[in-house]
Amino acid sequence: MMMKLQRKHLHLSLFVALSMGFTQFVYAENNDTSTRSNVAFDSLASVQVQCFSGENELSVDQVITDELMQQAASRVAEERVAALSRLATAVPIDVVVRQKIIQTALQDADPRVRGQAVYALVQQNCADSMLLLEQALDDSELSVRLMALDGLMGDDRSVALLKNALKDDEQAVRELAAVKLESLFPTAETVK
Amino acid sequence: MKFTSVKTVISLVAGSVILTHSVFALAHNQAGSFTTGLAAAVDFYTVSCTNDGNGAPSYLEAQVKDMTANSSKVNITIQKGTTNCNTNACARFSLDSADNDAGYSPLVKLTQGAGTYNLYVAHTAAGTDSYDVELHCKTATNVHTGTSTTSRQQQ
Repeated sequence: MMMKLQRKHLHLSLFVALSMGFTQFVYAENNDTSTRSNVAFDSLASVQVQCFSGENELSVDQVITDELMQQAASRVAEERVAALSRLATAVPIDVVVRQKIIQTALQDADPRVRGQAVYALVQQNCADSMLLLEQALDDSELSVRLMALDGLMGDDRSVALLKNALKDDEQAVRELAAVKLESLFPTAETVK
Repeated sequence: MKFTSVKTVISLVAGSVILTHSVFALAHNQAGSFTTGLAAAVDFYTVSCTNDGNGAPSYLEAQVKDMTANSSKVNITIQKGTTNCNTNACARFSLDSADNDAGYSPLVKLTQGAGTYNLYVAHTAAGTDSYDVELHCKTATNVHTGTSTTSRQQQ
């Protein structure tokens, strides 16, 4: 009798424990999803970067490469931004390493890092830069959209995107788009 | 023997505490960012220069580091006083034109004695920008003295 009761008790405990675990699992899943959807629309999450060596490529400096890789992997967001800022200029780092750093940064949780990655990418010789800029202009974070606008040049596609940015919800985006269009076409007619 | 080693440990700990304290006392940085992204954004701070025991303040020196690489560059203006500004400057400006390095803008000094200095941080175009301002109140003999910053406006 006692044995039967003990076994029943054990089964009940197992059931409760499993149920609690399942509930927690479901809660964690839901919680994660809601956090993700509340935070932002990261337009760059699925972007694949492919960069090439430029004509005036500097010879690789291993010390600088190691230093920059370490900085780019820092747990401090400001340090990761600093690493990408350095990539926005000519650096003696192998193109594969540069590509890897930018690729990782484009998926960073911090929008400042993603924005700086967008700007750094535009300074490199990479495939589909324009596609990436177009996607970045759809990002929910103001800082990412501003960086994407900053990277646009004077070609037809850029002009079309700049004109489209004149309708953005944020005044800063509209302002930057207008200034860039004004510098490309000094007459007010073109900006309309 | 035991007593001597305990004394050494105590001296080392006390020494490092004093050293850490003095390093913190000398480092005065004000970090910030332009949250609106607007070209006309201005962040405004007041810097109080007082005698903390190191001597009467003579001047404020400041420089800024633009921490975001983009077309927009960050600059600072420090200002105090309104009289005889042509003899003794009442305002100074400094721009960090290289934003993809760890360097600061040129160091600028404003010799207006003790009191409250105004610090304006701005940028040259619309865009996202983070910055770090390094500032120190100093005596006539260049000794660091009482420096405290208060944020008044964030844009």
